Amino acid sequence: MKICVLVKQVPDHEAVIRVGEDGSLEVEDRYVTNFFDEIAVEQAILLRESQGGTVTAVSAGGGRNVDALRRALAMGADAAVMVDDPALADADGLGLARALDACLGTLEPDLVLAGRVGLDDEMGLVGPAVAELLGWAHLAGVVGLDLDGETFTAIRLVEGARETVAGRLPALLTCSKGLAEPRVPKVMQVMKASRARIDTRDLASLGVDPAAVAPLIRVAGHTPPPGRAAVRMIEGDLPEQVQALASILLVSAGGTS
Amino acid sequence: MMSAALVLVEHASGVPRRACLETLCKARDLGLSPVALVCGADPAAAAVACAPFADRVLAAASDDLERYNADAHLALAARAVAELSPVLVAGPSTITGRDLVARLSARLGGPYAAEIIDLALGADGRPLAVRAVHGGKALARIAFEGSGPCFVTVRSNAFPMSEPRAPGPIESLEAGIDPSSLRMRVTNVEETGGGRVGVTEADIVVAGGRGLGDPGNFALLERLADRLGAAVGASRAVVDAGWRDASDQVGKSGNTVAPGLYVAFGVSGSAHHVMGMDGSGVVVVINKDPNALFFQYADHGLAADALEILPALIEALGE
Ligand SMILES: Cc1cc2nc3c(=O)[nH]c(=O)nc-3n(C[C@H](O)[C@H](O)[C@H](O)COP(=O)(O)OP(=O)(O)OC[C@H]3O[C@@H](n4cnc5c(N)ncnc54)[C@H](O)[C@@H]3O)c2cc1C
Ligand SMILES: Nc1ncnc2c1ncn2[C@@H]1O[C@H](COP(=O)(O)O)[C@@H](O)[C@H]1O
Repeated sequence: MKICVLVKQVPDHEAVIRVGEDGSLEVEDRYVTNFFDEIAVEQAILLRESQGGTVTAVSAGGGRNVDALRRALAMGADAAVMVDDPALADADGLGLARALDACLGTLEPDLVLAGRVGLDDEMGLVGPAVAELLGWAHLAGVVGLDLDGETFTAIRLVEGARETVAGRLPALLTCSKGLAEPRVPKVMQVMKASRARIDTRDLASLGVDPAAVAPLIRVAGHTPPPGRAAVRMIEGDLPEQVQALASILLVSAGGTS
Repeated sequence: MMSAALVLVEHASGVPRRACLETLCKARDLGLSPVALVCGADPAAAAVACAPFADRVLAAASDDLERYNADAHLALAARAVAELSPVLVAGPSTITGRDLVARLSARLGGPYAAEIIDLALGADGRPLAVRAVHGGKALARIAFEGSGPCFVTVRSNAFPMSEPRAPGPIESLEAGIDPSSLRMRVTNVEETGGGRVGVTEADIVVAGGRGLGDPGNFALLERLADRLGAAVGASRAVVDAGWRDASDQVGKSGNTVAPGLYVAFGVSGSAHHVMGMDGSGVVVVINKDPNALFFQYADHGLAADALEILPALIEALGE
């Protein structure tokens, strides 16, 4: 079985992110592989270990995303492919999906795993969009997965329910927390991955017209999140505290419709 | 003629997700004509619930629409878009709502923005949206290119509800689903959350962390939640410990919530947790440690033992 995993690099949650005066984002240079993508890589490796086959990490857009490919290699992926092209510099999720779709077309996987959402721009577009362009089934928010030949049984956690879904390959699944616990690669594997060859392709070699990846959404600017006023601490002895808390809750609860 | 805003309504037991109703109201406020598409095995109740907020309700009934099935729901949504040529197509920012709208945008080649928290129309009549990025560290203003429909999913509690009006007509839409086109089937459904409203839907969330000491003490939180009509949320630490279901988790790797009131007992307030609730209205934090990080993100703080406060609070509020 051939599994491809879509990965990207995002700012670490502890990275300082500030809005500049011109509305641009200033992001501290602390990046990690997207949390959900590491879960996807782990799940792919577990499947290979139990069923055989290969795991190929795939990314688009170049730049820091190379580090996500190297992370996947260090965790145990067999190969890494990058779609890099100047036209992808300001691509949005749909543009990236078009590039990834063309690339996956040449790799011919049976199963593609992606993250539920990228913890940078938090769109959650690329997975479902790639599935749509491939013309494949897609299941979102997968927390459990069983493969049996051509068929799979997956568990997705939706609001208010845990659903079991049965389907056939090929399919694209987006992975949520709980599916697998990403392994931490050993130093040797990290070093080896840092020297591994990354198969890099441009749009022309994939037959993608650069106009097809032009962005459809534009970030007109950023603003800092609305700040909160300084906390007001509730004082007094226990009965006074409880009374004050009760009244805050009742007044605030009344304010919600 | 007024441009249409098509809202793809997700519902549970006949009750539409609040984000769907809120978006219908917002569309009307913006001078768009709100149209609801309600799919289900029996969409009647949800259609009736939408009608007072919509100019039209399209209802499609089929057993294949009982649970979200991408192939079936996409086909119907695409047909509704073709029929209405809406300027905006919106769904709730739920797991399946985000799947449906993202995939629909890719099918129709239109711009998509996820989990928006504000919406306006520009001078050219094109939508402009606001959404949080990087775990709420910044808000991004989004403009949509092109002339076709713009696709969005909407966070609950982003828009106020308006007064119900005379209900718009409910028209039935032929489901016309070819069963052989369905590539996946839901084979089992296990309800979570014990019938209480979910954390992403609720007006009020009362959350508990490891500071509650043991899983049994969440019974106190549930009693408080029932008294307030709230959902019960949890930190990742208690989900990982198996005290609460993963669907209750608030934060980076769980749910993003923005209720009007968020009350946390025994939660430390790590960045991972705060990321998931920072958009909430009033935030109240109860923590034994007067230096707990969470107080920095709260409107009201109480440095006290949650296990002493909770029983007394429930009593003060009355059953
Ligand atoms: C990649 C990643 C993703 C993560 N995603 C999430 C996420 O989505 N959601 C999330 O919540 N966390 C997430 N975390 C974990 C997060 O960093 C914290 O570890 C977690 O939120 C801590 O949970 P807690 O506050 O319940 O427990 P603790 O950190 O143990 O804090 C318990 C708190 O309770 C207080 N306390 C103790 N006893 C009492 C008492 N009797 N009365 C009142 N207060 C008391 C203590 O002072 C302390 O502040 C993530 C971490 C990582 C690395
Ligand atoms: N540039 C990219 N290259 C490869 N995969 C990506 C890229 N961007 C996003 N993805 C995948 O799509 C998922 C959702 O990302 P996003 O749509 O950006 O929220 C991620 O978790 C990745 O699996």
